[in-house]
Amino acid sequence: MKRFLFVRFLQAIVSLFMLVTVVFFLVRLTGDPALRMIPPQATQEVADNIRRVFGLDKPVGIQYLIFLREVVLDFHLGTSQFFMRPVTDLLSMRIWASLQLAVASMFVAFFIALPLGVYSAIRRGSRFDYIARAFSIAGGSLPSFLVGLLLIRFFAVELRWFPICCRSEPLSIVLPALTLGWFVSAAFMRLTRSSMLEVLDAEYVKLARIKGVNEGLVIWKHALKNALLPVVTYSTVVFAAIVGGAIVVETVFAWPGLGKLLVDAVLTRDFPMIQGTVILIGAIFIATNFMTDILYGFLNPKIRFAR
Amino acid sequence: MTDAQTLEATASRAARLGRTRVPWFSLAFLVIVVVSAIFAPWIAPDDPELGRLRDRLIPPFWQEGGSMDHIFGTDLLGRDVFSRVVFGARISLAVGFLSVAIAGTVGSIIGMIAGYYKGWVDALLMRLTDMTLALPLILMAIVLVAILGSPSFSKVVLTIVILRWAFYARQVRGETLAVMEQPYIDLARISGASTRRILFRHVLPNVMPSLLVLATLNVALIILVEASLSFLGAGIPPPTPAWGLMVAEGRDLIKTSWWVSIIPGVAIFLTVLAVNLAGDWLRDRVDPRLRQI
Repeated sequence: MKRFLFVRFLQAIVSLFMLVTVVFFLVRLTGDPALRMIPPQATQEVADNIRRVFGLDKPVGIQYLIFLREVVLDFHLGTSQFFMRPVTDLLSMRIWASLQLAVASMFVAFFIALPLGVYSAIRRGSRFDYIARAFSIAGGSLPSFLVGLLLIRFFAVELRWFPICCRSEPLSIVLPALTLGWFVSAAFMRLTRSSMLEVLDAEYVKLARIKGVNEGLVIWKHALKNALLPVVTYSTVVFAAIVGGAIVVETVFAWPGLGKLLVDAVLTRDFPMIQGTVILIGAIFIATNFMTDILYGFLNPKIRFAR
Repeated sequence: MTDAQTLEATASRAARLGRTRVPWFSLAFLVIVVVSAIFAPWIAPDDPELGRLRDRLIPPFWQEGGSMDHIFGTDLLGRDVFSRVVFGARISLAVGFLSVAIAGTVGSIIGMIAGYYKGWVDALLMRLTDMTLALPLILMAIVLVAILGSPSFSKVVLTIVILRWAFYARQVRGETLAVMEQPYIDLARISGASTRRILFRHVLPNVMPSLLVLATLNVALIILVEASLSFLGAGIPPPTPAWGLMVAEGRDLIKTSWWVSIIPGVAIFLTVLAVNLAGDWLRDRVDPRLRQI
């Protein structure tokens, strides 16, 4: 287990390094970043000054080494060309909104998906199962911006229960969390169902039934406990995905998270900002994958005691 | 398995009826979408990019103030929403099918090579796929579109191919590894078949069925991604009638003129749903094993 963790940790570091490198050079593939900052009527002197301030007067290789040193030593990701502030400041302002939304939508997703998944597995082939599966396919086919707009139309415009946008009051989170949670729950439900079906077929569940254990206890304790294993593992990956990938929902509701930050950076062509956001989201992904491996080891003794 | 079959057999009448009719409904709907994409200029009553400011924000015909001249109403610039939805089918389907076809072809060739040569070629290619598939699709798509500069149809397709080939490469590589174990591959080699002949004559036909299923299901995903990209303003630029773009344009009108954004949104939903159901049905027919993916 220790060896396994060590190897996985090294792999995580290497992926992080590769990510930083690839993003750095990709962003510079598009040409000289200084050209976007220098106004066309600027004199040569002003242009040179701008290059010097942003460190763009040196060769790309040197720029890369300086960038790496700053990332590793000071955790400095450069300066946003649009906001004229350090990228890390802006990221740390936005990441809380993203985390909050991710946690809330995971709650929504579990709340919808677990009961539906378990019941449709128990009543496999029934009308309920059919409807639940139809729901899951429909859920996966609905664009999240459509769900968001419909929710806004009914709950914010007609009924006025929740605010239309932004992050101004505690109730603001309800509609974006519902939109994202609904989107995620389709996949969760399918996974819970198939994992539950597999477990219900296992010998120890049959044994529990033969012993005369109450059916409710068999399902909710013996079976669900084991069926949840893949669901929990998958949910950590989903969590990372919606911290960084809630781009569409954040845009619909003007929720000030990382996704909205990235879209705005893309639209204003603010490359240090794009670079910083992608590196942060990538780092969250890599860290989550690493923690998933640890979690999986704890939950599954087969892996914990191997090697 | 027999247990499951008896269960399926005793499933309620409604479920059975649904199960047998759903693919036909969805196929019929897909045919409608494809036909309206191909024959858009003849079906659409109006020029999708022509605005008449006098006729702005006319509601659809079933609402008060609407008329049969514009059955789905008009948008902020007075353009006919129905004509724009019909022309929008072109963009969605073209991006969906074209990028899946290219990514599927590139991916399966790379996957076959990895599964055929094994060793370091395989290891290198698979690390490459790991990297490509590591980050969320929409996130990477929007960044790539930004890097490629001024979005266009071909750049959107290129972006999706770059981000999606690895998915097929993984799948095909796994199946190639399995096929390579079969005795007829050895026999083919003994009889002097070249690498290319083995790959395209003996491996590819075996990989094809599941590849087709995956590709069909992926068309649905890609249509959604394209719609999200144009919704975010990083897709095909206006005034081209792309569905996602139409939803974005109507976003601020949701209070007063819901039809401008909801109708193209529903068009995306129904199309993606139809492709998904067709893919699902195909999967159960061709290869139920793939359910796990």
